[in-house]
Amino acid sequence: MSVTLRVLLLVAALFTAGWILHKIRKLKVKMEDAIFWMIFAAILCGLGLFPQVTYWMTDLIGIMSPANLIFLIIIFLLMEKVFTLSIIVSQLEDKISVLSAEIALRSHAVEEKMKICDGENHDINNNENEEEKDGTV
Amino acid sequence: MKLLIMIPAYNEAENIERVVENLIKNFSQYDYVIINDGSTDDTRKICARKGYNFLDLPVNTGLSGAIKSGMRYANYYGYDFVLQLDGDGQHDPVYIQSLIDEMERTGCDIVIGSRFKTERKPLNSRMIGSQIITTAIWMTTGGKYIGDVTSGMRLFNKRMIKRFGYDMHYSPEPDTLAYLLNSGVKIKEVQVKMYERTAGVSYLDFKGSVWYMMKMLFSIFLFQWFRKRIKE
Repeated sequence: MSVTLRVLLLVAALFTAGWILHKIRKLKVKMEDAIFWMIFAAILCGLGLFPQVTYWMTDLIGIMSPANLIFLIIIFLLMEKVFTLSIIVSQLEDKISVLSAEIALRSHAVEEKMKICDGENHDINNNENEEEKDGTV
Repeated sequence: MKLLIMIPAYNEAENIERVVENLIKNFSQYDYVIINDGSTDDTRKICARKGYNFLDLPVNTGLSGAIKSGMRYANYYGYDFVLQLDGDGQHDPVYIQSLIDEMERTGCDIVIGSRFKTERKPLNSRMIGSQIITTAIWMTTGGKYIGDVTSGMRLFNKRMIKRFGYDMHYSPEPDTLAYLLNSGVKIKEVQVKMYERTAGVSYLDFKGSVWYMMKMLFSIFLFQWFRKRIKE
């Protein structure tokens, strides 16, 4: 494993952690969603600091180059994130459709109620007018 | 002074009537609002039929979403204090007065109705989790002790209403307590007795509990140091 790769891993880890913590400070991300990125950064950091672990795992699985294993680990982690994100997006879409349906339903109910009220007012006014007419005649 | 009792309710059809009838009959001096958090059972129907005062959230937003709605309601109608009371009947409104007294006496911002202010915690898996969080708070706040960190019976003053209603990170969870203690907010506990829930189930299963503990520990030990501190 080259020194360049190890340095790159450490830089990436630092950048990820710093960036997500900055986003927490700016109220742009919920803390529970930042946990994944902190763990991600910790793993990158570990891979950069302890190449022996990577060598040991490459031997174990039988991959030629340690660098490939590192890419594989990162790809797996990111795939997991994409997978959960995709599920969350589905749920959010469903929630939005339920939300708009509910808003439409409720505003419909309010408008119907107002129509009925208006109708009653009209009737009252008409009756009054008719009575007046009756009176004048 | 205007106090609002906020009752977050998610699928509490079996309990809500008992809880609210008790409030209406015996504690009519307080206003209340039920936050129906997108329940899938008859919670909404019961509230509507009985003519209770309730906010009906169209989709489930989780406890922190429900609390946020309640806090915004309180802010909108100009309440000075909010008391959070669970919809499952665990909390006895008899203790509300002692929470208010404690707030007036000490001038603190949050009073927690605590099962473990003077009494010891029993030893079971749930309470071990609670003790870990208590210890985490104790370690990060320079020795401040909160016994019942997960208690859902809390009294908030106006300053806290604004913050809990409008800040993304203010969840009604113990990590917020740790953060608040470190930003100079005063939190007190008052010993109360709580009932076991008589119907329905708690929302935390094993997987949920592990995730919950992880969220709390990350937040208390790491994230809180990066959050902005509001100095007033």
